[in-house]
Amino acid sequence: MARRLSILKQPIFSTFNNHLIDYPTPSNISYWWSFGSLAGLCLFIQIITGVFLAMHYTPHVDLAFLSVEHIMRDVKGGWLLRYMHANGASMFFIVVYLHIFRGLYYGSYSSPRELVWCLGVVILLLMIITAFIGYVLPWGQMSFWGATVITSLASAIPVVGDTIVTWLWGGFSVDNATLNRFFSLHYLLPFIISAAVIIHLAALHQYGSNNPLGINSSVDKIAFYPYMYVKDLVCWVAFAIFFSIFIFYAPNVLGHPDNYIPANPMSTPAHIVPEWYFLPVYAILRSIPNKLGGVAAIGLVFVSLFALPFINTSYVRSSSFRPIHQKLFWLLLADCLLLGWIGCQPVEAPYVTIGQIASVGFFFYFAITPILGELEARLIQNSNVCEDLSPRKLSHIFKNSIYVVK
Amino acid sequence: MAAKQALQKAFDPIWNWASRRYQAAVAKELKKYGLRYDDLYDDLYDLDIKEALSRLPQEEVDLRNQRLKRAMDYSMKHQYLPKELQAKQTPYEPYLQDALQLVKEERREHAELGSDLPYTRSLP
Repeated sequence: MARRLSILKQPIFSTFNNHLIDYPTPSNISYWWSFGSLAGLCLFIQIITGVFLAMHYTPHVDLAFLSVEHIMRDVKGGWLLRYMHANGASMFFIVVYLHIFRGLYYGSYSSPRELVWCLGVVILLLMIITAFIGYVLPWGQMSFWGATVITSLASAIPVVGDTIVTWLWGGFSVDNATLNRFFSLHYLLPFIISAAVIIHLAALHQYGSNNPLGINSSVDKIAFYPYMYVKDLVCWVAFAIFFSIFIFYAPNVLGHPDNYIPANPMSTPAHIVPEWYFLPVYAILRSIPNKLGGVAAIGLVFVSLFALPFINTSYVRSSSFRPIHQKLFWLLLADCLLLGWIGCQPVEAPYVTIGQIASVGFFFYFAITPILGELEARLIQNSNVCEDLSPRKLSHIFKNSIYVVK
Repeated sequence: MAAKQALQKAFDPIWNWASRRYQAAVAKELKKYGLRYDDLYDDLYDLDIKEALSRLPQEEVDLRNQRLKRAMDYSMKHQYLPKELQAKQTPYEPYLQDALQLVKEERREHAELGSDLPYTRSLP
């Protein structure tokens, strides 16, 4: 009687129960599967700290920098809000990059989870736009000049490029109009991200999570609560400690000191560098000497990520059983780290050449994906070297099965 | 033709060597969890796999599910099959590939005839 009357079985609550409490989860998912919920936590932290920061921030070119200093010095807990928000963005990207690389290693992007992956790429794109816009708001030197460099890229578009840039700026240079609209968009986009996250989770729950072996896990599933709730909680606590180290002991180590200089349109910094999480893409942009080519290369990065589930030809998901893909994965990871290092180096020899080679290496991973699955299958199916694969008659397989010719 | 055969003759030893190394590497991992290569084929990945599994004898499917469950259990515990059991594994003994090839061949025939297989037809 009590179970029928349980609140968890009533409408709305039953949705909560079906997707967060009694939800069937593969029993063997490791801590690499906790980064998804951790990313959700980071989004929540960014929204809450952002809303409270917005109560004290002024989006005007003459007051923005000072309002941030006001938050840091005068607002009670303002320093904590600011450091949580600034470092929270870095944490968000660390978590999401680990989440993406987990997906690459274990083949979480492959069928039937193509939609989950594609929505993830959309979320990444929205995050990048949000973070870029948010970095402009303090109106420091890097804020201003980073905005100028990146928004100017749109001028590479033939015919309408300059018109688009003027429209983006709201004027003829990055100025007050730009700052105002960036503040408005920076407030709006996280809620768009939240909606995308809900759809991302809905798509995930259609077929359920992948697992480290990449096999069908329907034979052994356990309830999300309490098992995965506790596992995620452990990860959340570890994250809180990691996050706290940055907030309380090294709050500016991930930032650039030039952003503590108020923006000066008359003085260009020696090296204009974006935040660390943009460096790999920045390196790819700079490796192409042509402006439009560089923009196209950035577009190609996201097209490649988007297309990955559809160009994959491997029936085997997990890299544990794909030695060649495993090595390519580690090469890709090393390549991305190299690109990140190149992104913060000046545009001169030998960094230019290294950057170009690393950029080719990045795209090589995606270019080889359609061939790799087929190659691995043929290597396995080569019956010349494996006695288990010697030709067998069909009849003994179907001796007891009902087989109807259609 | 002769050039092609000569090329194949030169390439075959390299290909066989690469296959041997690759199969050994994959077999090592499969044996740790007591899996067969065909167990890695997920019926969620491709409906043809689901159809092929439905044509197998029930005992073959039951054995597959038992191997999957055992592998999931070992994976969850971060353990491997005991060494003596690993030695007995036959990771490349096929049970699905033939049925899968047949299903794919049927799909190709249906596509040529312009008719859809029941499990691919969408609602009218």
